[in-house]
Amino acid sequence: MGIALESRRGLRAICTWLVCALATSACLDNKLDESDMDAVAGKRVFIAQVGDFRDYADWMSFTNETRSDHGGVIGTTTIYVSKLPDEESHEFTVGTILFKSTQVEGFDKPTIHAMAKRGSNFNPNGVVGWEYFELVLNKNGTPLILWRGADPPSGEHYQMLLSAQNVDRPMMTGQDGDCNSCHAEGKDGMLGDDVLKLLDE
Amino acid sequence: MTQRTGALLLAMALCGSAACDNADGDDDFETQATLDVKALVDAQLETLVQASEDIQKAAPEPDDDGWNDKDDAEAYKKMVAAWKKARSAYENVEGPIAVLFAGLDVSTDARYDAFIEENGPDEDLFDDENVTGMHAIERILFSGSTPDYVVKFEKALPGYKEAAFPKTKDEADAFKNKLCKRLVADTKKMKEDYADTALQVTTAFQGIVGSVQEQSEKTNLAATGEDESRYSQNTMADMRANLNGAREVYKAFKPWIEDTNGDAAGIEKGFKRLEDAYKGVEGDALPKAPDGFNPDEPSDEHIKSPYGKLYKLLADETDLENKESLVTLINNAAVGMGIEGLDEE
Repeated sequence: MGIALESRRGLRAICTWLVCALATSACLDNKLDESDMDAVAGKRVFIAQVGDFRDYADWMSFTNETRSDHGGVIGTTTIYVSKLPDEESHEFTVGTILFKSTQVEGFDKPTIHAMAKRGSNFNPNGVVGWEYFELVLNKNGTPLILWRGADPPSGEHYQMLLSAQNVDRPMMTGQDGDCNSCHAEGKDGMLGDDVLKLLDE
Repeated sequence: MTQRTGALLLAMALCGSAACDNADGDDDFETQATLDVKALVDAQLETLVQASEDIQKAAPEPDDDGWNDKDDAEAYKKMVAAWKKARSAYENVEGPIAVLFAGLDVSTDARYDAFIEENGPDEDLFDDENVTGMHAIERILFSGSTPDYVVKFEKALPGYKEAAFPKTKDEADAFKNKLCKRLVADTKKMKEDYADTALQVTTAFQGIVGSVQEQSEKTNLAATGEDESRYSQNTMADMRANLNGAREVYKAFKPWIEDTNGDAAGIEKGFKRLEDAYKGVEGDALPKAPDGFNPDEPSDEHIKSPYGKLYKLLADETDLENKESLVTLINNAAVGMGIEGLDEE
C-alpha cells in the first residue's frame, strides 16, 4: 500500500503549485464553511471520527494538476483543509483536518491520507498533537477510516522510505521511517507550516 | 467535565453527523442512543482506571526477594482480582474504544507476540517499554501457572523471554512503579480524552459490530495458541464481556432500530445464540482447540469439539455473506437508521 510521507523535493513541488494555486485562485474551489469546525476550536482534545471527514469535498482545496509524489504514490493530488488558523496565528487549532487525496492514473479510487490535529500531547515523539489517517471512499463516496494513529499499523509499507536515496536523511532510515519522519521536519506539521507561509505572502 | 458540557459537545458532534438530514424524530433517537453509549463507556472506563490503580496499589512494596504467588499470597490475590476487573471493564467497551484510541489500545491490550514482532525482544519484563499493558501484567501474574501449550507457542517466537515473578527489589520496583504505573497512565489518558470527546453516532454504533467481531477474532487466534488472556485462561470471560458490551450498545439503539423497522428480534436471537453457547462453556477459559485444527478447513470431527462449535458459531454470526448472520442484521439495521460511514464493504 502506498503511503503518506513527503520528501523535501515533494514539498518544494507542493509549495510551487500551492503558490500558483493561490496566485491565480483557479484551484481554490471553495470558501471554507467554518461553522462546524469552530465548534471544536479551543477544545483540549479532538478525536476525529468518521463523520468529521464526511464533508471534506466542501472544504477549501488545492489541486495539483501535475503529478506529485506522496510517499511513493504518484498522481494528481488535492489537499482539503477543514479550517485555516486565525489571522494572527501560525498554528492550526485543535480540530483541524488536512485531507490529501491522490488519484493515481488507472485506479478507480484515490489514495487518501489525512492529518487531524488531535491535541492533548498526542504523538509526543513526532509531530506533537497531530494524528495520521489512511482512508478509503466507500461506494457512496463516504470516507472510511482504514487506520489511524501516531504511526501506521504494523505491516504498512512506505515505498519511498525503502528507496535508497532516502536512507541517509535524518529520521528516515529504511523501514524505520513513518509519517513523522517527514512531517516532523516542519513546524506544526510539514504541510501546515507551508500552507501558513503561503497565506502570509 | 459537567453533564452540560458533555451534552453540548455531543450536540456539536451530532450537527456534523449523517443523521442531521433526518427528521426530528430520528434526531431524538440518535441523540439518546449516542448519549447512552457515551455514558456506558464513560462508566466502564472509570472502572478500568480504578482497577488499574488497584493492581498497582496491591503490588507488594519492593523487597530483596521480589514477590510471588505463594510468599505474597494476599497481595497476589488482590492483584489478580483487580486484573480480572480491569479485563472485564475493557472488554465491555473495547468495541467502541479501540476505533478511537489506536495507540492506547495497543499499549493497553496488545498481546506479547504482537509487541515483540513489532518492537523486537523485551529484555525487561517489568519496565514500561515495549511489552506493556494488561497482558504484560497477566504474563507475570500467571507465570507460575501458564499452560504448557502457551509456553510452547511463545518459546517459538523470535526474541522470546521466559515469564517470571519479580525476583529482586529492582524488578519488584519496576513492576509496581513502571509497568503497573504505565497501565494507570494509559487508561487515565483514555478516560480523560474520551470524556472530552463528542461521540458520533457512527462511532457509537461501531461498538456493536466491533464487539461481535472481537469475539470471533479471539476464537480464531486460539486455534494457534494465540488466545488473548492465555496466561490466566480468561479468554472466555473476555468474550462474555465483549458480548455484554455489544448488547449494552445495542440496547441504546434498540428504540431507533425498532422505529426504522430493523430486525430487532433477529438481532436479539443472534445475541441469544452466542449467550447460550457461552453458557455451555464452564469456567473462564476458552475450550482448547483440537490438535491440528485448521481454521481454513476444519474437519467435521474438529467442528464437533467444544472449541469447534464456538468457532463455527462465531464464523457464522460474523459472516457478511450470510443474510441471517448477527453482523448482517446489525449492519442492515444501521442502513435502516441512515447511519453512514460503517465499513459495509
